[in-house]
Amino acid sequence: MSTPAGSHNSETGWGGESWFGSGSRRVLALAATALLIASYLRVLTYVTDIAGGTSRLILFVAGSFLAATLLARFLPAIGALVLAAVLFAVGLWSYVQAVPNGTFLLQSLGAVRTDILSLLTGLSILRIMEAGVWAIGFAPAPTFLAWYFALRRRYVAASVVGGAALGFFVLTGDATTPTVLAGVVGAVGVIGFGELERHGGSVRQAETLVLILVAIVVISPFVSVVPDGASQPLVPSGSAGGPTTVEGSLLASSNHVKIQGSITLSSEVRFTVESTHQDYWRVASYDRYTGQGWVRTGEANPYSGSLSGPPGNTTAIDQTYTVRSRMSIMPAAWKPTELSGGPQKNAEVTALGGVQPGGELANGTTYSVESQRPNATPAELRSAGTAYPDRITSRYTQLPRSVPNRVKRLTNQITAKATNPYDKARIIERWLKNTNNYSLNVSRPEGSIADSFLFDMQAGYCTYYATTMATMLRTQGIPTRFVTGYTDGQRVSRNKWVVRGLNSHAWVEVYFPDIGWVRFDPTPAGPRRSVEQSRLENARSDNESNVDINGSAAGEWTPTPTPTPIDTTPTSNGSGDGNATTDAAAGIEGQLRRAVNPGNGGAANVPTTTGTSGAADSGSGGGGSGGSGLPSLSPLQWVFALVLVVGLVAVARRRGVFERLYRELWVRFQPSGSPTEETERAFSRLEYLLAREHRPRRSGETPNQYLQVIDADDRATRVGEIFERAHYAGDVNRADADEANRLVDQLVAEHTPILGRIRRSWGKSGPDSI
Amino acid sequence: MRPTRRAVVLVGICALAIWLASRFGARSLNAVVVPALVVLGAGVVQLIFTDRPTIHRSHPAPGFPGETRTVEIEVETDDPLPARITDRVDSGLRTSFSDVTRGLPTSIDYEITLESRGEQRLGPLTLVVRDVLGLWTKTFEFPKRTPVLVYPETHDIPGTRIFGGSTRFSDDREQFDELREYVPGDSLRNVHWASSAKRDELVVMEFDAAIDVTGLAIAAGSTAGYADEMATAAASVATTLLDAGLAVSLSFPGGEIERDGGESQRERVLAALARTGHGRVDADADIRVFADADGTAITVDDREMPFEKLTGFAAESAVNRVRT
Repeated sequence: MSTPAGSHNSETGWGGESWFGSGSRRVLALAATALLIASYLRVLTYVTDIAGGTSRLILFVAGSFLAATLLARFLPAIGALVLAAVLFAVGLWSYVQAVPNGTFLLQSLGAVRTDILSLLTGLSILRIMEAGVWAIGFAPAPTFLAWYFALRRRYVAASVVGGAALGFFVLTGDATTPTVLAGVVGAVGVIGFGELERHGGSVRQAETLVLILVAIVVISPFVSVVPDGASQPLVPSGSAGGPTTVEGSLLASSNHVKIQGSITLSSEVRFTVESTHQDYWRVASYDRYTGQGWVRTGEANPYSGSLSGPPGNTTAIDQTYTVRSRMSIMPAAWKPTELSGGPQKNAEVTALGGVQPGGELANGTTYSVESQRPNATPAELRSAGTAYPDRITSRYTQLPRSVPNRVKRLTNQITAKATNPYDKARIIERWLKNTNNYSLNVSRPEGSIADSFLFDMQAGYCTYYATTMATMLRTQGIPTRFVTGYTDGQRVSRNKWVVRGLNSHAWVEVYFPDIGWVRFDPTPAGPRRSVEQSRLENARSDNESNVDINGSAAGEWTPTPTPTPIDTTPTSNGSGDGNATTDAAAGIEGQLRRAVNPGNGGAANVPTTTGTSGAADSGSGGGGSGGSGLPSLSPLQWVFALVLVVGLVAVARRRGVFERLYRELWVRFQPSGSPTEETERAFSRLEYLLAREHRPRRSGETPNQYLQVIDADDRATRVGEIFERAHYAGDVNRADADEANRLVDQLVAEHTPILGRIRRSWGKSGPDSI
Repeated sequence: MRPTRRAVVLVGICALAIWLASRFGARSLNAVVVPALVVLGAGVVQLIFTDRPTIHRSHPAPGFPGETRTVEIEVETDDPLPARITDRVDSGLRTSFSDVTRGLPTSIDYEITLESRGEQRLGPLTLVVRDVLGLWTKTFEFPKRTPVLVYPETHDIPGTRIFGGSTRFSDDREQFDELREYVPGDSLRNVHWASSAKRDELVVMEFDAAIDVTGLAIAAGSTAGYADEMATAAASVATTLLDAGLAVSLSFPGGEIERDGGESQRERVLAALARTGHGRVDADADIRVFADADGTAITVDDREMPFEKLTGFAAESAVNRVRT
């Protein structure tokens, strides 16, 4: 026997239901599916944009859509599941192939588990190696399956598949809140519109759904119910004796740098260092540029006794550090070759050759580092050539696609005369020092940092300078990386420096074949030092704690030679900028410390971001937008506004506002016609008016009876008479019709909410009720 | 109001998200949890304000086993929500109905096939209303049931001669009383075509009024467990007589129907035989029907014959046709 035959919904809403057939419901359900899929693809394209492979990703996704569309016609669900599993396995396999010794690492099941666990607890996809290949491998399976299910009208399944994919990126922390909201709206929409489509709900049911979707978008950004715990993924540290994991080989042991807006920093003493040479006390370096910040990929290994030095001539630097406030970093001059002291036991070596402690270093801890600083002369650097090893090129010349071409064009122009990487680096370094002002008060730009800093912003601080320089060099194919650490600090005696939070800094290192990594610092040293100095003086005058240690209050130890041994280029722009004074201090220390050591929330030197991401409205710092009349909204804000409007329209529709509005216009507007037509229209206007005032005319009630029963006033009765003559006798002339229209106009005017009250109070006599 | 599996899963996801957030950092989990709470809350609100819908179920006409009827159900409500509709029917009916989920208000229809004699009933109906996302359900029971009368099966009995020797009545159409002019309402069956042709107007035959008046009394009885057989035999006899234009009266276990003819009497007789149980009937009758373990017997003028013999093979095949 067949299923129930017919079904029809009675719907009395204004506008009817014809426009909302099952076709449009299906379109809405599919559109919601597409939105859901787009939300996690947004994350994947973000990844491939940085790590490469966007065009291949698009190709694979398009292929998945096509395959799902074709196969949905005949392939049963089980077949689709199998196919998706195969796609997923192939994707993973191609990823494993792309990663160095990936196949070897796959052999350990526990390792795979650890890997997945790290990702699910907040390890960004960007921090795994070959993230682009990973993204391309990941995308097809959920896309195929979600689209297939949506086409097969298994909307809940589609929502679950898409939601799971998006949920994964929520957990890895790569999906931003707007992306997640869009995806959630998609997931809810798939189910809601799917129900409508399958069960034939009414327009009003659709309105309810739209209201819920709007509520999601409107409420979510302003309500926070989720506690914010320590944001530290479960990444096993590669401590001694621990099992070698896939994760260990694929992932950075920690950390990334997100470039902030305005920052303030602590003047507390972090450590003191006794060193045979003055240098920058380097903490960490990063290889992957995201356009918005820096990420380190690859594993950290336990320190195993000694490290190789740079290939060329070097100068040995012996340093002994004394920790003055708890920290989880291990500053060392580049390039560390040997560690000694307590922390050496647990120390780790990052994939980029830096060192970091296994845990937190307590106040008073001391350790020694022996470093070998590359000693190449400019002439040697000029002739080093460009025979970079492949692993260096692939890792250190990567740029997000989001970096506009003009960055490269500008760099080409600036470095047109240079013939070798060293000259190019020096020219860019000098050019940056001279071109942009140093300031800690900046709004974080929306787009690519380097592009904004070059073309929009007038000022920035070290991370901006260093990021921009690294980007520019990479456009020239020169391997460059972003480095954080501390500048030399306050020299209190010939061999001793006191280093404070405000000395934290960022610079770049450029790779030269057979020489190694060489430091370049594009930040203008003069303004930076003066900002740091004034911050220090303020701290001293405010009696802040831990500003000074023995001897440091006495001021700088002045050696006989020049006090600026590192920065060979002359400082320019001595003027600096005035607004970067009081609460501003240098560097990126907070981030550096926070990222490395999430536990020390008590240090209270987390950089405060004033230029929040969503509010690029006025572009104050960048000075980008001119004074246009309209408030310039970001695309996100436009979407938000649009959603609000949709919500208001849905509410208005539900409350019948449109129908009333239409009626209100209709009752006032009379097209001309024959006297009979006009009279009839006048009477139906009167009826509407009276129905609102009293009650509608019952069927079977003559106009006359009706008007008598409701005790209408003389004018209404007169219109009734004219109407009856027109309707039953067809015997009205132009004058009658005009009279009827005039009388109804009067009545309408009197019943117009505000204007009517005024008119009535003007003493128009007669019974108050019509 | 009860949560559905979806709601339980959603709450689970929320709990997991909150735990993950507190343990490993908030990330964008807020954008997952808040919408989840919004949809859960919106579902509760939708169902709290849902009033009991009203149900109209059509009354299918009575009929013989094997006939089909369309049942229409209208669900009226001001709350535009989807609902799962379940309508049960008595075992004496076969139904095409399978549970459906529809957006309300709606109307659905389904077919039933009448199967067993008796007063069968449609219902009760259950409406499981849920919010637009299917997270919560609210169940409304509609215990009111709609009766469907299923007549006893009838078998063709060829001719009526068997019931009354020769004198008392006849279905011989030539034995009419008089011819008279046609008036609206007369059956075309009774038009006397030969005379009409001669007279240029329709002429109908008026049968001997005595036959109508005389009619026949039927008494039906059975032992326990044979009421169906009794009803089938009595209904077959009665309808055959009524179709032949005769009047009948019927005594059956638990009641009797006064002598009358025509379509309304036919319905009365069938309805009574549809509902009757077993029992003995002692009333005087021209035709007695009695069913027991030995079979169904028809007694006319002290002459007893098995019902099967009366219907013959034609009846057998008719039964088969009905049953398939």
